[in-house]
Amino acid sequence: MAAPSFFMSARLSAANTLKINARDNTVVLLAGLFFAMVLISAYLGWSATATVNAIYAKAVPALQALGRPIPANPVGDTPVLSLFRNMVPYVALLGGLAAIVLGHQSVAVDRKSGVLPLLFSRPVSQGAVVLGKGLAIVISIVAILFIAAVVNAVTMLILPGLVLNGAIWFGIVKFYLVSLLYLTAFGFLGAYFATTCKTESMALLIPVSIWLGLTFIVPQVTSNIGPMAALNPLSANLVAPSGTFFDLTSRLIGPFSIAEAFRYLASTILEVKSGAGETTTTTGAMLSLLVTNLVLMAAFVISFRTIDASRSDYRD
Amino acid sequence: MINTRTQIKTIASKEIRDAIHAHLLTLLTLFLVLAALTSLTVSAVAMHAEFVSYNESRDLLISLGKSANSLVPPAFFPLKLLRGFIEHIEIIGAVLGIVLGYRSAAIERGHATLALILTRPLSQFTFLLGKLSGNAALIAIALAITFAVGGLALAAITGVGLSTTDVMRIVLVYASACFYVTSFFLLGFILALTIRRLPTALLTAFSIWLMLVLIAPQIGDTMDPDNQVAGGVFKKLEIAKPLELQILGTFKSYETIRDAIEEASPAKHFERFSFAILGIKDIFNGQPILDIMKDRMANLWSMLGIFAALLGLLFFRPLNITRLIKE
Repeated sequence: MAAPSFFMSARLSAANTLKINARDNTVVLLAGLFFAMVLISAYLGWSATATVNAIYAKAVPALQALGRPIPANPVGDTPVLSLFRNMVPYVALLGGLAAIVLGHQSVAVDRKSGVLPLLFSRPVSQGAVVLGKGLAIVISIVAILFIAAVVNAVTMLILPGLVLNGAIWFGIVKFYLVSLLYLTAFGFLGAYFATTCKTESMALLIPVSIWLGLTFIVPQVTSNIGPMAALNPLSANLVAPSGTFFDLTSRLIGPFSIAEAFRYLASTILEVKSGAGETTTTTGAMLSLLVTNLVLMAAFVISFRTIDASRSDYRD
Repeated sequence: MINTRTQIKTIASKEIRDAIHAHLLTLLTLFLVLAALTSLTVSAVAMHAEFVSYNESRDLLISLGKSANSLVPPAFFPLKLLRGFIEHIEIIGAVLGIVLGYRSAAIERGHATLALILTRPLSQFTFLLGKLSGNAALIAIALAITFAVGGLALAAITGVGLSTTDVMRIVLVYASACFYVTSFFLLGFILALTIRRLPTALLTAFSIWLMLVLIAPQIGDTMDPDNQVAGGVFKKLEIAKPLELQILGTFKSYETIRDAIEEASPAKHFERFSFAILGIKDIFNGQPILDIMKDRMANLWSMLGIFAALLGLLFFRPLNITRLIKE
């Protein structure tokens, strides 16, 4: 019987990894939590508008009684897309963790079950297997984000009082494309450590620590965004900090701060202020995400291709 | 036969030795110290920039022959610089607790020694208490290092020595941080002694951490009526504080729901208590410690309640050893 072609092997590897990811309880749990947060995000957006309207309605008679001029309702200044601003921290938090676990599981299951020595004793290209796994990571993240986008779209149609147009729908598409770029980086990070670490626990702990550092420590150094302020799309700095220190840190560390790059791009699309450093630009942020993806993808491919296929030891 | 106290001491010291040899604790403590120092430095730089900006504006007004009385000088409270430090303890300290709890159970499960230990004349209670004591001591040491470095850095950065009251405030926050982080130790430990697969236990603990420490406070903060518009809705409407409070009074049920979401988070209780004691929250700034303690007693009781509930779960739930035996 002829050996399967490179693309056939890659396709089989991708299909198998996708099945593994879909059956994994932890991936399903995190994806479920993410979808729940997408719904909550829509509710929070709607609740924000309703609350401001209610405050305004109560403020008007009180201001009239005081003989003060009546300012315009701030809701009028709120762009429709900004109602989904809470999606920015949810993608960064739950999405990031889910992507790490997804990337991890794509490799860990084969290593734990001892499939790799058997697989590579057959005429199967290691390159084809890793290509399949990489594709499966991207497809799984696309699937999660696609469902989230559908939930977003449905809530936009249901919420009363929203005037929707092509630009808004295009904004949603752009937001999810940027989210995809951000999450695939963490997917490849999880897969890389699942390939190189000796124990499954360390393979999870190291990328989670990196994610923690990127989400909470680096943005503080480059933009003075405190750990808890980083979670609220509106309470982060409205004005980017200035001065020699932040100029220097944002130039030196900024290009590696992918959480900040994602926050900047996503906030710009959703028309909310991100509080990113003055040197942050759309091109720079996109480049930062793209380069991180390429580097992590290359690291994963190289580590997988050089994995010792004669060993199947991978402990808890 | 060895008495119970010696057994507890032996298990606790082995926990401490194992954790130090594994370097995991050292790495996580360094990570926490680094985060704390980063936050202090950044806060000091931001505060310095505020002072420079004030001085420049004042000098400009004086050079133009105008009075600088209209400018409000930035207030200087050294302990306020600890805001980011406390937030890092909330987030990374909790991860440190989970990882220690997970490691403590995983090491026995991984070496298949759990069943063996419990065949010896050693009660489950003694075994668990030994593990808890050792790890509580590790947490206390790791946090003591972090707080000591933070305190010294604060004094060095600001150039102002800390008063006895300041030190007392920091010690009180340190004590509450020990309870807070040990609660997350208990969470990681209980899950790793309950769930069949260790990585699933670790991820479940991380998911709970994510929901309780990050998402619940985030939802509460986002639902704050004044956080709905950039810069604050009341500021935008140019509404003075008395009228703001009057309007907010009509949102009582909304505020109750918002508060309940926030209070589901142990991190929020730790934050509210610490921010009050350190005077980070303006209304508590300069108030005597005892008065603040009385005011924040509910947060203290909530933290202790969560800790006690987890202790109860650990000690009163029998271990299912056959379920935990390595496959």
